[in-house]
Amino acid sequence: MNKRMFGLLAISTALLVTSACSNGGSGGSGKKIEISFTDVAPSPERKKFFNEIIAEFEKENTNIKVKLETVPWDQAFAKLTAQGQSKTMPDVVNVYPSWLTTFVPAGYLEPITEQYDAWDKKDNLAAFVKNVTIEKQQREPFNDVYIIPDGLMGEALFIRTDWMKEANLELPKTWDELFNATEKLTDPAKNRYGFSYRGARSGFDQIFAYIFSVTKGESYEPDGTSVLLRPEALTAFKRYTDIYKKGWAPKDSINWGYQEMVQGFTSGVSGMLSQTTEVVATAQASMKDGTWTVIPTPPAADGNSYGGAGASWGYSISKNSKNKEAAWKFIEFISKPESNNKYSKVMTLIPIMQDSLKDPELGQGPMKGFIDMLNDPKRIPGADMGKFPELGEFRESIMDAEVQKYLLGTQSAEDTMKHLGDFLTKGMQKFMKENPDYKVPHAANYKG
Amino acid sequence: MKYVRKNEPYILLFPSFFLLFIFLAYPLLSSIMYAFQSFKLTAPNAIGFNGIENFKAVLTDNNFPLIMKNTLIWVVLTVGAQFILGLILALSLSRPFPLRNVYQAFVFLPWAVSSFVIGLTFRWLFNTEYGPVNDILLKLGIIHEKIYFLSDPKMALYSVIIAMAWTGIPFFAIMLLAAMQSIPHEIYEAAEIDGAGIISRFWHVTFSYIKQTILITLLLRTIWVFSSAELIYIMTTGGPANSSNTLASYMFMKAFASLDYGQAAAIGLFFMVLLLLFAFIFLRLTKFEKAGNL
Repeated sequence: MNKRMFGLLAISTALLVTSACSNGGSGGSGKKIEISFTDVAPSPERKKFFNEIIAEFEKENTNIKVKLETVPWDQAFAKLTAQGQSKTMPDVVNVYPSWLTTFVPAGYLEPITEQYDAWDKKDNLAAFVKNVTIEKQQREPFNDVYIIPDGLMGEALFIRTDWMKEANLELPKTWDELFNATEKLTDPAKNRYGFSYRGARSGFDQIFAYIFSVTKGESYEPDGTSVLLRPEALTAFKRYTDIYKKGWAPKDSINWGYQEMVQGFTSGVSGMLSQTTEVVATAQASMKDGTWTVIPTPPAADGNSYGGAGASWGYSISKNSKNKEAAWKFIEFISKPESNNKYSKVMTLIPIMQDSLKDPELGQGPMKGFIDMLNDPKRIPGADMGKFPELGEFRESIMDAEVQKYLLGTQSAEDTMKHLGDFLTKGMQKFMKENPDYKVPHAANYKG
Repeated sequence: MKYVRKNEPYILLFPSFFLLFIFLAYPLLSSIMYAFQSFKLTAPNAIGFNGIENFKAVLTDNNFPLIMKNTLIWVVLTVGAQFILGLILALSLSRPFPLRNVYQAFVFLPWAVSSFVIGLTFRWLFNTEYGPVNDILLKLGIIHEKIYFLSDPKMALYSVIIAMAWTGIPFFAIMLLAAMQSIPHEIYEAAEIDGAGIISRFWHVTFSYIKQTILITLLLRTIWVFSSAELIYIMTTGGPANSSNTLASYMFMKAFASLDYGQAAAIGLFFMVLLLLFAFIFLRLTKFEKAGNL
């Protein structure tokens, strides 16, 4: 196995070296600097956006030429690793935040700490970007800054303001108020329900997001035991699933996935929906203005909110780049509010700059809910579920089926949480034993 | 030269046998091997023979009795509905009427649609809150309470069966219609002269002539329906809580969600034995060799 892998690596390295040489030969003589930029999630929209940005950039910087390259997402990690190994990485790379744990120790990326600290746009970054994606997720674990996030993703609460007004309720600021509103908005006679409950196709993630609020964003104890086995997690689980058990969500929602829950909200069956930014466009297309808005998901009892927000990707400079100055110039250009706002709109992501609130399309209405959420300095992303291979099985065929058994009343909440917790604990502890260097994931810490 | 002459049949047969070996025998043999191994992609370092552990694990699985029961209901109801409705359709299409060809093309459409599209379409049709099926039934006053097609564990399997039956009707209709059209017309005339009514004409002429086709299509469909998992996966993912999982969809999840190829192969082998047994009994009971020689 290892020999074969080595062979493959050697061949791909050899191929890359030859291709790199041929590149260097042709572009090295002219005065114009050429930098390459690789996008790891190509799509027609992205390609169009990047081509436009590059054209603008080249107009401003006539001596720099940017060459756009793409690699399909499925192969991106493997290709970049091979390129890093053979020192042929493109000058600017779009990397996935969790790849940093591989790329930084291997020395593929150039620290951009100095450039970042001297950057005039630094103080304009949203609080979440500054405090979490830069400080907590990069400078704390790695002592340096390596990526500037391209945009952010996160869940927030879509809510029917007209229903809330009818029921004389304030927009919920705590989970208690949220559950209370869910109950009050429910009126089966009118075919109205409080919440777009997600019972299938990763419905458990929504429950886990609430459990985070009692475990302070942790998903495992230091020894690898799942937090689902904590008594307070059981209480939280019961409380959240009451939305379904007590009939505050349609009975049908036990089989709802992404499409159904969104449709449930936009078609006026349910009054609240916890979803990500891309739903804004869907809701705008099918709902009347002024009947709904987006607000941040309520914080936990300690005032922090533990949500799974994070950068989608980040721009970085490779260690082997020969034109690091030009590369940073390009990153600076692509990250400035005008470019970033455009990018965020194309991708329906949350922009990284506070200034974006000045843009009418982003600063008012539903997108504001998302930006407010990430401007909250007390927002901490929860720990991930780990990276042991049994997680795929857990997500695909265990977690929702187990919860459904409880929702249907064929299994107690205690048994459900025990089955789920035991499965995760077993997988995590086995993985920790096989990988002694692995550290249990913590809230706001991607080192591991 | 003499050597070539002598072995000519084998040389000519070799390419097809070679292909059959690659695409049939090899996968079959390797899945039999998997069934007796611990072959989890999640534990690549622990792959090795483990005797009948996989079979033990599958047969003692808590969900297994429910899944076997579901499989039986799934096969019997789906194939039954497809056959009866397909036969009716074939009979109604067997005589010429204006625009028959156009009508035929429409009727056979479900057969040409990808099951992924069918699954998604039915998932929307059966949606309780905004699916048209519930809406129409409520407005017509046929029901007074919404039906929870896909979320009620008692209903989910039957809802998928409806979708599955719908897709399979054209297959029966095509096969039976082709068989019917090969019946010489004189025989009907002779039967009529002998005083046969519509029922005895159907029974003694049509049915006798298409019996062999019926048997072979029933056998084929049973095997296909038995091993089809995609509609279940798309419409309910086997839920709520396994209430609509059949052996085939369960095997699919074991292989591609749990990544446990050993157990999936064990289910597959069990599955194959069941089907072989079924085909054997079916052919015996229906005296297949003699069918059609009436």
